[in-house]
Amino acid sequence: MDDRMPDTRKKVAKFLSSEGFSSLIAAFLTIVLGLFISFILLFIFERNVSLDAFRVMITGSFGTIGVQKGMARVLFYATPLMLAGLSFGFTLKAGVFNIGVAGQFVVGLLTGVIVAIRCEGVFGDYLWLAAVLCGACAGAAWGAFQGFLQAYFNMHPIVCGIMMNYIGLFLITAICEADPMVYAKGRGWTEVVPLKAIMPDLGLDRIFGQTSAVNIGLYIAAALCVAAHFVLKRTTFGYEIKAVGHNAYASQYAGINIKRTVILTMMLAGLFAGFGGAIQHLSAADTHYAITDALPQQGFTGVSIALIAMGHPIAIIFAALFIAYLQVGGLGMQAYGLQPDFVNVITSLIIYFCAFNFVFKHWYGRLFKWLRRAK
Amino acid sequence: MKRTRILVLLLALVLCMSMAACGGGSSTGGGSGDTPAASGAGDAGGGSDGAQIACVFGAGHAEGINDKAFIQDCWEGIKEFGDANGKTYAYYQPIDDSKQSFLDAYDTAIKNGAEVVLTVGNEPSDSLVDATRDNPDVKFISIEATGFEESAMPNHYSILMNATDAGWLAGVAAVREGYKSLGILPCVAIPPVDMWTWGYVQGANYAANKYGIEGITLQHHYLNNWSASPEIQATAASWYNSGVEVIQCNTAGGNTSIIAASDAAGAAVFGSDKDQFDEGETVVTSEVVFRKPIVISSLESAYDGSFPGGTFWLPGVEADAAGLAMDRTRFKNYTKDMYDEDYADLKNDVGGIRSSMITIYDIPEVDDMWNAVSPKYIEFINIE
Repeated sequence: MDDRMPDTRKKVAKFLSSEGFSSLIAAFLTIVLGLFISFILLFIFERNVSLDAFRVMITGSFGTIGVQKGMARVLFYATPLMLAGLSFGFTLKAGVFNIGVAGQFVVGLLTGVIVAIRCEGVFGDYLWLAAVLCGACAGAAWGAFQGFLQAYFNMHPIVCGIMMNYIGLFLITAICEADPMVYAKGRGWTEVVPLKAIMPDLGLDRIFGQTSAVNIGLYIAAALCVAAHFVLKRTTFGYEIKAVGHNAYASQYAGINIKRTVILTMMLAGLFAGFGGAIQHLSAADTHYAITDALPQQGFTGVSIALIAMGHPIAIIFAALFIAYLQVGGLGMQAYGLQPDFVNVITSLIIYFCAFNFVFKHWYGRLFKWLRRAK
Repeated sequence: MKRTRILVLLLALVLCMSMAACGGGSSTGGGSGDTPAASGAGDAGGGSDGAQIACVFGAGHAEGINDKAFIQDCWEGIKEFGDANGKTYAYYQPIDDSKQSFLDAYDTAIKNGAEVVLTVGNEPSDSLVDATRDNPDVKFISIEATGFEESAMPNHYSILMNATDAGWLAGVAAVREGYKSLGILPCVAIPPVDMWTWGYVQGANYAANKYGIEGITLQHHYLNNWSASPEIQATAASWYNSGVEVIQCNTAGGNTSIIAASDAAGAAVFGSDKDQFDEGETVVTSEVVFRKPIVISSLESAYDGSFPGGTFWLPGVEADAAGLAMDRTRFKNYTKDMYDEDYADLKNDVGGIRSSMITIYDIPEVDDMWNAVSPKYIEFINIE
């Protein structure tokens, strides 16, 4: 028994100093510190309710609304966020900063609405599929156009993205407003899409209840994230994207067509955002879309999600779920008189602390070595 | 490195989910573990478990509850009623403006103990049918939601402020003050907003005809935005630079941007929703619909057993619920006596002013409105 002890101790020491465990510790510290600073802020500004409100936020207010309903809400809000996040994250790999997600998102959304209303008799029961695919294709086209401007005219991605956001928004709303079948004049919103254009729930209602709005869009979003991971990891095109992202000049020297890669990457990013927009609106019945000059918030939340996940497609799934979870909790926090913006503060804090991840890992490694030496 | 990222997020989720599991699984009614005590919680009123009155408004209103316009006006009414009657209150802004988000906001409010849900704005319109049907024991009061003029559920009291009256008085005042170049900058083309415009146009037309004032220009443009922004300010500034003397702004939180442009140009502006005299140095007066007393009276009815569920109310001058804020003004020519005279004429329907007024419900097409003005006196320019 005594002979075996040193081996066991060695194994434990090896495990504690392993890459995986130190990552776990660093991850834990990142989250705990982000949440702790959030709590401090909450305590400073809303002392009387800080404990209760914080508990509601981190429990997603599941205690009040129920776990089933809470989970349904998280998945519902996470679906378009996953796709918006993927749109931004995918281009990060190519070293392109796709700030035009919101524009691609709204182009996809309203194209989906136009197709759903205009083509009701054409696609029958598959109207939802046609509307979503057309929305995604419109987003892809808009993204590819941005990629073209960046690749051939050397336009700065941020300037191009911001301007194209508004051009896309105004263009697609002008198209909607010109069509009396789509736009309810004098009401400021689009007409309601037909029931056949609503995304099917594919049995998810049996898990999350009849009133839940979770639908097939969740599967589509998750599948696209996995597909994007596969493309980046296992295909030549994915390798080219990453190569261009690491060093465009070296890639060009190695024979990679940078212009083509940038345009295709932006096209796929637009495709993901277009899917997100169309899925967002076609997820529920009886909903009008208010035509305004405001870009959809999901486009910008997607940027935060991609930054938290550092552009990794699989991590984006979890990041979207995490942000949606905080949003649902944030809704419950309002019962305590807290503003919904507080959730944005917490999200930002966690993004900041993600940057400390490597610092924590380094500190842990040094602490472990010091403990071993002390023994 | 990638594994670390996934690990961080997975851990975050697991951490939160496990806390959620510990938080309790009750899915019904208030009084569960997460129900707020709400005593002195920021703006939420205190007293008993959960907020009994919930105020819900659209996510697109970036200024939130303190928009210095219609949302704040309603919220002040809720606070006054709650404090006077020992009722707790809280407000909820949904995650986005979709129907599902509103339904989730109502559900959260009701699970946290809301007995009365008061919605503000047009955005909740889509969600109110489902919400009132699914929560028959909860009383819903909607301020400015549309689509319930002819039918509403028995637990739903629909109120649309008759802003046409306030707009009419502002139009008359603008012409009698001597302005010749009038601008109208509404936020979006929805009935609760267009009502201000219709009233303003008809008021200006009435005064021009009555007093034989020619050469008036009316310029109109939808901003498609209702939150304060540099774009709104730039649009208003360009209008003032091009010779517009006064702008009627109906842009909720965006009013402050137009007022800022007016102050910078040393021009004139009519505030709206509530008295915005203190928001700028050039606010001549404000078109006001008195939502606060309407909110208080509707909440009283919800608690004293006289709740007029299933009905629609369009309160205007007949209920002293619309007018101009004349206590403090920057008019040079238009006096309180002149206002009182115009107000009385409108209220008493002298010469059929009010009964013959075109309202938002009389005209299916927005463009038809402009045919109502006399081309002899008024030139109308609509900027798409």
